[in-house]
Amino acid sequence: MKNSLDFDVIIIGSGVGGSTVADYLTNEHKNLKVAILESGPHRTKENFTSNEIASTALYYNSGAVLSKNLQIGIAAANTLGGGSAVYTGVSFRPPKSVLNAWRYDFGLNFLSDDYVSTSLDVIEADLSVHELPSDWDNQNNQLFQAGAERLGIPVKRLKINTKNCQQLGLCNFGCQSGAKQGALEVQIPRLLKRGVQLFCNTEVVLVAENIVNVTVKEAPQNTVKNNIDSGNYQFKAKKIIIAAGVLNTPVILLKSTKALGLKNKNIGRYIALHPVFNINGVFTENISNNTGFPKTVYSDHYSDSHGFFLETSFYSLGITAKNNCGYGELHQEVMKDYKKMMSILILAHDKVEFKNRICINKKGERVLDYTISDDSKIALIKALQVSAKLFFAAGCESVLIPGSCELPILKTDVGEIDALISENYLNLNKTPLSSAHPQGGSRMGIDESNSVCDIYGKVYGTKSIYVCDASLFPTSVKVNPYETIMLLAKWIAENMFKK
Amino acid sequence: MSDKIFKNNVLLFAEVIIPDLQDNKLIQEALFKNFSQLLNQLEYQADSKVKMLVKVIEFLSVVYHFKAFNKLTYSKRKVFINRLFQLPVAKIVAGLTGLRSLVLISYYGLEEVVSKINSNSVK
Repeated sequence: MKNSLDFDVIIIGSGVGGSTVADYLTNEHKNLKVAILESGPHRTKENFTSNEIASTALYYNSGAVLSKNLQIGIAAANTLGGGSAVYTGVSFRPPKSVLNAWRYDFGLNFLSDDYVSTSLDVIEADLSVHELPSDWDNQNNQLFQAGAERLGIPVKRLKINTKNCQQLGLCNFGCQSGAKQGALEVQIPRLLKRGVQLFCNTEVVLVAENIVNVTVKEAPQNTVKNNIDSGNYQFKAKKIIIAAGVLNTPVILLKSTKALGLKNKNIGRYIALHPVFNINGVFTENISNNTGFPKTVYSDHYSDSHGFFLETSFYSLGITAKNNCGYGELHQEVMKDYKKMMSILILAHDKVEFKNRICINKKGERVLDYTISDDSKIALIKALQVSAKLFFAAGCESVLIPGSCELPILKTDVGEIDALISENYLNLNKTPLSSAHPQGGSRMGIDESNSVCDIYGKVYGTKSIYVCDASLFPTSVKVNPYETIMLLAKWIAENMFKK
Repeated sequence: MSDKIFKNNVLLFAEVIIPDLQDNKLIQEALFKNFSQLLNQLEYQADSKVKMLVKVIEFLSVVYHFKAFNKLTYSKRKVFINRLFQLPVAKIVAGLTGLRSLVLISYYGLEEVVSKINSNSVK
């Protein structure tokens, strides 16, 4: 190939996994020549906007990569910094029960309690992870706490990775003030100072041992210009780290099976999505909901017993309209009460199954083949019931239930909630279930028969190919995943050049 | 299906989803601009699947009402779309739900709609 570029390490993807592994590698090995290939455009905080439609360009597929059965849409970022550019900054350590399972069932013994806590202490300090003070709670968050208290549901405060947050409430459109301590503000500036080369708008076509073939596309309008001409290139390196996210890493591996001589049947398998319902209640008067920091509290009270988390949330008008069920006159009237809405995010802990997977069709296009399990449906229904009761306990007059044919549920129906929110009404073809925490597909484990990567992130059967993102997770981590991705990235970087 | 018919049918569908759109050509034009932008950002030419769905709506309109979709009155269109959402064909219902999402995001993403609804904002 005419255009050939040589490096020591090539990292595909600039999100949480890619930027973190690059950060640790270049800090430890000062002379390492590293390139990061990012499929999305180079945007900085100056390129972000509060316009909802313009912000859909930050995501793949306008914000929803749909499953084959169209029942769930994944919000995945396609911009420099990956998910860290659009997440809310909610910071969780992996739960001990999950780490236990990863150690005992998949042999990830390096994740000792000591290694995890020591590593995450350093990571959290670097990212300014802290609890937001209670005087930052807007009324949406205050009402969540009031309703939960009345029902006896314990609430905890979320930890967030921000510095000098301006409380714009636009985290999912990219942080315009640069307060969010994601890759754009923390790792990428460091990497550029250390001489790491960044290639945006760079689509990986194929990976072989020590080789990555790419196509560089024109930078879209209102983004930073490319540093090389558009066209096809071949990148060469001693080590190649695929950190392109759950939607893309398995696709790159599947497209490259022939070139890499891979026959592993687990590539793309055992996907977990942490399915989400956003549910809204209508309060008696206008409240502060889309001003201030969107989420400060959560409840894990039902996590072990019923398999779900409740977090506060609040979304822009279009997303809220999509998430409220129904259409027509009633839906339109309800939307006029946007300023009265309280909002809860339900996250169901889905179990991984071999049949749930990312694969490619004959054209080489990504296909997300995922079916919501009966267990997840039961968890979602219970979570909807609890949320509805919480809304009414907080003083809401009505609640808008996705998947309910009763729209809306009124205060007078409060005694009937369990009957009104039942499996009979949950039609997943009519309910916009979504996900922002896809995990798995390139599972890490000591047993090649049920994994894709070894415990150092190296793809079984290859000499130079590694994975470093949430696709390594053997099961759902059951919390917002970025800290766990960083933990694995640190481990992979520490061991990559050890003899 | 020509671009003109596609646009017209999307807007007729949108009127059922958001009744305030009726007889408001200015907002309809702005909505369709947003809708087109969302469509153009879809991967793998998925916009062709949306166009196929709109064709299916057109076809079923003829099957159920012996009339093209654009010949149905607003009330007939409402009944027809309600009926489509009750069909036992999962892919059609899920597709309509997706089309509904695109229309809602396109409409509620309009600055004039945002400022109208947010005008009573609590700071």
